[in-house]
Amino acid sequence: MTGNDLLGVAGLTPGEYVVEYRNDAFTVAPLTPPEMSLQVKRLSEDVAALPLQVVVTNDGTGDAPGLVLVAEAKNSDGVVTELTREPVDALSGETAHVLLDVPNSHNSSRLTIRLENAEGGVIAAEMMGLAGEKEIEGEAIYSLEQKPVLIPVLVGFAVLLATATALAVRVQPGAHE
Amino acid sequence: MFVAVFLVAGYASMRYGKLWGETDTNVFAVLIRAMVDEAKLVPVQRVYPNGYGFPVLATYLVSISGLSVTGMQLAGGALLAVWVVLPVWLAYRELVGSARGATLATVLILIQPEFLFPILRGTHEKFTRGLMFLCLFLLVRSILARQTWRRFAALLLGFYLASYALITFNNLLATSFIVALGLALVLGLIMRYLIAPRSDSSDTMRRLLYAVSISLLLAFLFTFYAYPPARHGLRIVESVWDRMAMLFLDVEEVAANPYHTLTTAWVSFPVYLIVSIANWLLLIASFVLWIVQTHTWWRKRTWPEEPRTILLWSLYGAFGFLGAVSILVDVSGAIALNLQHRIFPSFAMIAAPFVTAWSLRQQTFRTTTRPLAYGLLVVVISFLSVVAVAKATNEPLVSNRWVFSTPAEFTGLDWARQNNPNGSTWAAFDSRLRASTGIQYGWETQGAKFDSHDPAPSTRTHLISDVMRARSERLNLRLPIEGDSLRVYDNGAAELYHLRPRTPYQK
Repeated sequence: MTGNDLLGVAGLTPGEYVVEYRNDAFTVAPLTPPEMSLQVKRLSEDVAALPLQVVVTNDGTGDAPGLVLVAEAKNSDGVVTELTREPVDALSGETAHVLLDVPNSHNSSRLTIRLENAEGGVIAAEMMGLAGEKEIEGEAIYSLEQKPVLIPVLVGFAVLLATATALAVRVQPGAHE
Repeated sequence: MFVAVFLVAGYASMRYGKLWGETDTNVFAVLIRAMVDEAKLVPVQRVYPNGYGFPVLATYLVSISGLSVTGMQLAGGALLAVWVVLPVWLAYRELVGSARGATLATVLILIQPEFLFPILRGTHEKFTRGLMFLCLFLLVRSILARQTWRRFAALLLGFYLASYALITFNNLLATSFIVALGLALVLGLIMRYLIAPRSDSSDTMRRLLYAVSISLLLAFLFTFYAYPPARHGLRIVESVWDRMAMLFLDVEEVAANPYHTLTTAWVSFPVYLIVSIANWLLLIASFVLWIVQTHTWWRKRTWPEEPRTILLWSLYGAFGFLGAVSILVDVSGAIALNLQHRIFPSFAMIAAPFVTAWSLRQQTFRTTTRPLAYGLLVVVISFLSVVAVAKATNEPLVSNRWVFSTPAEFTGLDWARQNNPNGSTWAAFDSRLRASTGIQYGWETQGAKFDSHDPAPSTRTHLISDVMRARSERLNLRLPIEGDSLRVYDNGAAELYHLRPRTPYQK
């Protein structure tokens, strides 16, 4: 290194650094890879559509431009359907808000929001369980067939009433017909 | 008949075991617990404003049997219905005039789901209905037995004792019953005056006049002096008139219409018609017969001399009139929208012997067609019995109003009340779980906060169970949680979700 060390980088090992000028001073920090995180918020109770706000945060010192947010739904049969994709630039230290308008489906049990780079690699992902969506077991509806022992009781009631009726309406011996 | 009612009561009590509940049974569980705890006729904790009869009887039965209040309400509530058979049969024997007529009329009333439902749950109705029948029996019997003064006096005393007992069980139902007797008197007098003014049925009318006047006096004394909480009934009457004014004078928007539930309470409208077919058959058949009989008397200018014929005809007209009025009151939205459920059983109580009396006068079963007619009758009665029970017990396959609960739901709510003691927990689209846990444990009376139906904005925790999911799917209702809600509890068949905080002030 030659000249005045205005940035105070003397002694730093060779490598990539980020130099920032803030508050009348330069700071030098190693250039770290983007550290992406996602936060998904549901914005509405709308049944037909499911507007989501995805907050993309880059805590690394390197920018991550040209990313793509992809929303996928997985139904109870395990079938995955891509719902939408939106481009997003995640600059270092900044937060990007992206609105995803995805159709709501009663069959979907899980929603996956993932952040892909230009090559299609997954940088970050957030799974969102559609709370309450769960395959319903048939036994949940407590129908009479789950308690077959009571069927003879019911039949007995019906037979007794029918017998009483038949006895009551029978023509009495000697009655006028 | 006793065996038949015992079977259906056993069916009702075993259908969901201990895991069921409905609002009124829960209300009475709370009332009985209060009376058992305090041993007072008017407990401080909670009092039934319409009469102390049922809580007192249940407290007595709990004391002598050793049953818990829960057991009394869930098992005893249905099994006690067996007692109804005796007064029903006795009253019908007097009204129809024969034992086989009484049996047939008893069958007809027992296949009415609107009659079965109230007597099979843990409320006063099995006793109020039974006491109404007892009053009818004693009234008709006293009219017919006037020639023996000792017997007449005994029957008279019995009638007023039964009337007062009825009033103590529910002064509103008792008053409507007495008013119906009064209307029957008025109707009979008008018809006699118009058709045959010189006919002699004054004994029957005079007897009715005394019965109505003295019973009304008893009801008045009970409401205003003997049992002060009963004055609550007057506030309901005020509300009725307010709402009627709202409905007919267009003062404000139209009140809720309870009959809209026909489309939501059952899986489909045809299913509703099938499970209610006994109600409709009885309603239509009895109405047609009543009109035909009235028209015949009018055309021939004849008035029957037999007291039971006059009584049946005029009682039918009176209860029919009250039924029509109850529909108007229900549409107005007063008295918890359920007056038609109270009046229809009363109407059916008279319609059944009315139809029976007519059918016994007919000789339609010719020798050649008798086997076929019997076979058809047996099949029809059997079918009507089964669908009546399905309706009366809210069979989940046909009903959208489920009353059963699951152990997992109880466990989830128990966890919620212990771990979320200061917050409210949403527990189902209706009151079934709150009623079930109320009957079993009385958690809400101990301070637990549960919410149901449309959740309040302050309710942040929700119980979601497999049963609720199934019901949500059946009714196409959305579960009241958001996609990112936090699952804080899961026992495999019921979960608790906590809504994410949206403001710094929410937890």
